[in-house]
Amino acid sequence: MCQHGARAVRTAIFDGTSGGKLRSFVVWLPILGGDGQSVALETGEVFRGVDVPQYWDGEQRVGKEIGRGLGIDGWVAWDIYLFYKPDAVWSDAAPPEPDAVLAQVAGAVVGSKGTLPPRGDQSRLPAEFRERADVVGEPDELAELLSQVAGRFAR
Amino acid sequence: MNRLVAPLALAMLAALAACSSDTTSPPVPAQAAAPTPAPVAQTDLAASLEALKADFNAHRGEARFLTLLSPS
Repeated sequence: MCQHGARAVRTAIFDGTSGGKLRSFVVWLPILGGDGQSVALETGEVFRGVDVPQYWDGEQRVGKEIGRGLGIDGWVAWDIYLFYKPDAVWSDAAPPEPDAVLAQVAGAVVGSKGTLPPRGDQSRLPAEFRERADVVGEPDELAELLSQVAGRFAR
Repeated sequence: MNRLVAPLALAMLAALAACSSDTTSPPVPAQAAAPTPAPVAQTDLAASLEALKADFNAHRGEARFLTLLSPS
């Protein structure tokens, strides 16, 4: 599923109308069986030729920090796409609060409240997300949904 | 280094063979080996998140996008 996410990012953020106009960062972290740094290096080839720094978070520290920042303690955030306004600052205490978030959760694309209009069956949303997010689309629409949000942030 | 030496040696052998050949066939040009691209760079955050934090903050004043992905 995550290679799907990586390809959607390549399409929407770097090859689409946003065309690399959004300063971007890619963090790889081990979630699924077989995930490791060598696999991350291999999968990271999807971003060859575009200006994006990549990181390996073998201990899921970024995932935990982002999960905590979104108010879901103990959740390791992954398959997640975060958009920040120009004034966002990563402090010593925590990453900044994103202005918009998309994620692939429970077989759907969900967005933080206000990111995109709710669409489809909202009952699919896991309980811990219901106060914070809406189902906004299906996984095969991820690139298009990312493009819509990126267009609001691109330089 | 061997990657460079081997194609050069082959090219030289091909040239020598072409020069000493009795046949009238034209020499076949040696194919240059395609360079192997360097692997993509990934900064390891095992010791600290400082590198990511510093890179993120270095672009304050620009909208930014961060994604966390599983590689498989």
